[in-house]
Amino acid sequence: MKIKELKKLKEIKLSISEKRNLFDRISSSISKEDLDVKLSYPIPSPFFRFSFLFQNKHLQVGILAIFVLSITSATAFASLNSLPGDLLYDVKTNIVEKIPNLFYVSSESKAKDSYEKIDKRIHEFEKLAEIGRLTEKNKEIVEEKIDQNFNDFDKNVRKIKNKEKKITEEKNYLESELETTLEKHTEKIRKIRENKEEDRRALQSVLERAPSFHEKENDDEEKKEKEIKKEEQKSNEELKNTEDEIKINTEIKEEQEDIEKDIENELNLD
Amino acid sequence: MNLHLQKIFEKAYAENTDALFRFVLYRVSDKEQAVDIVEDTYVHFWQTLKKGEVKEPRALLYRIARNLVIDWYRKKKSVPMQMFPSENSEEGEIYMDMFAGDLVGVDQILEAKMAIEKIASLEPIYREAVYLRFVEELTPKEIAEILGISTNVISVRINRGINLLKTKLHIK
Repeated sequence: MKIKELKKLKEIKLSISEKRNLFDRISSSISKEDLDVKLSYPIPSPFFRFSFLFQNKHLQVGILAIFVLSITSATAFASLNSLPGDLLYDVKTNIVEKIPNLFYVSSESKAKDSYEKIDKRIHEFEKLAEIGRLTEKNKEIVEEKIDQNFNDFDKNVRKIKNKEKKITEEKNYLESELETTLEKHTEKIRKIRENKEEDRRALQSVLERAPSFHEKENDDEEKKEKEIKKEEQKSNEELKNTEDEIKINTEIKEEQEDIEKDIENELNLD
Repeated sequence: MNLHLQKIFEKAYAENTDALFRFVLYRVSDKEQAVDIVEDTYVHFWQTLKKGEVKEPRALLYRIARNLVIDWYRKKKSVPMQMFPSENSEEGEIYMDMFAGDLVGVDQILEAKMAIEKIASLEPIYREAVYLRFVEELTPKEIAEILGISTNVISVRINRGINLLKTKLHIK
């Protein structure tokens, strides 16, 4: 035997007739004291057997939530095919169609949604005309909704254009920045090359003007040559570094161009 | 005013009569006596209703019934204050025979008898708490109101009582 089986004791109860007799006895006892009281035998409500559902607070909330959800879902579903002038048309346009807006973030998706709504309104307009319900009032409702959607569409398209403008400005700024940087580096390279030429020429003239010292100062010359070689090596390294920088900058420029192309492609696609 | 009270009364009668009858019957072991006590309970309940607002009709009904059972035992001094008939008592056998007609089958009679015996074997302080919690499915708060004890004490009694019952029934 389990603890839960203790509930079986509930099977012990009075029969309906016994309960009725008991109630009559109670009623007559009470009526002796209170003459104006006339109690009537309570007939249990058919809903009483489900009353346990309302005894628990969690169950109450759950039942209420299911009830509200089913009512709203059914209403929303029923409103989908409604036309202007129908009872559920406002539910469709003001609630059901606005729910997806909560998930749209970009101006592009919002503009697309406005466009689709305009399309729907035009279909509704056509359908009203087909079934002969295109009254002045219904016409006004559809026109008002179309105007509203057009306004939303324009607003979002303006936002997209502003965004494009910003991208172009950014692109131009980056291009000018890149050009300035390249010019700077080209100047630097040119200077380095000029310095290298000057050094060579100076060395040459010194050697030509002082031949007598050539033999005596052989050791000095060797030293000088070594120094020049060192300088040359240094200049070459600098040149190499600058070339690398130019190469990197060129790569950046190419990448920038690719990004711009992608953005243009995306905008064209939208 | 009376009409409002009548509605409360009728609702209370529809919802609680069977449970009250069982509650009294397990204590007096006499069907006629149990019905009489239930009748008196409702008359007292009506008088209390007339005096003022009743917040918990069910708790009030149990409280009145419990007091009337105690009064009945006091008047019937020869009978020991025992809430349930014992396993081998003659009264218990009479009591079960009396219900044979109201229960659906022999199995149910045996199950009910076994359940009564197991609850009856508990210490008196645990019997009422376990009975009201697991048979009548009242909340500890309602039981506390009926017995006039704090909810914490009732929870402890239910817990200890059910552990004792599990041991007796060999349930882990």
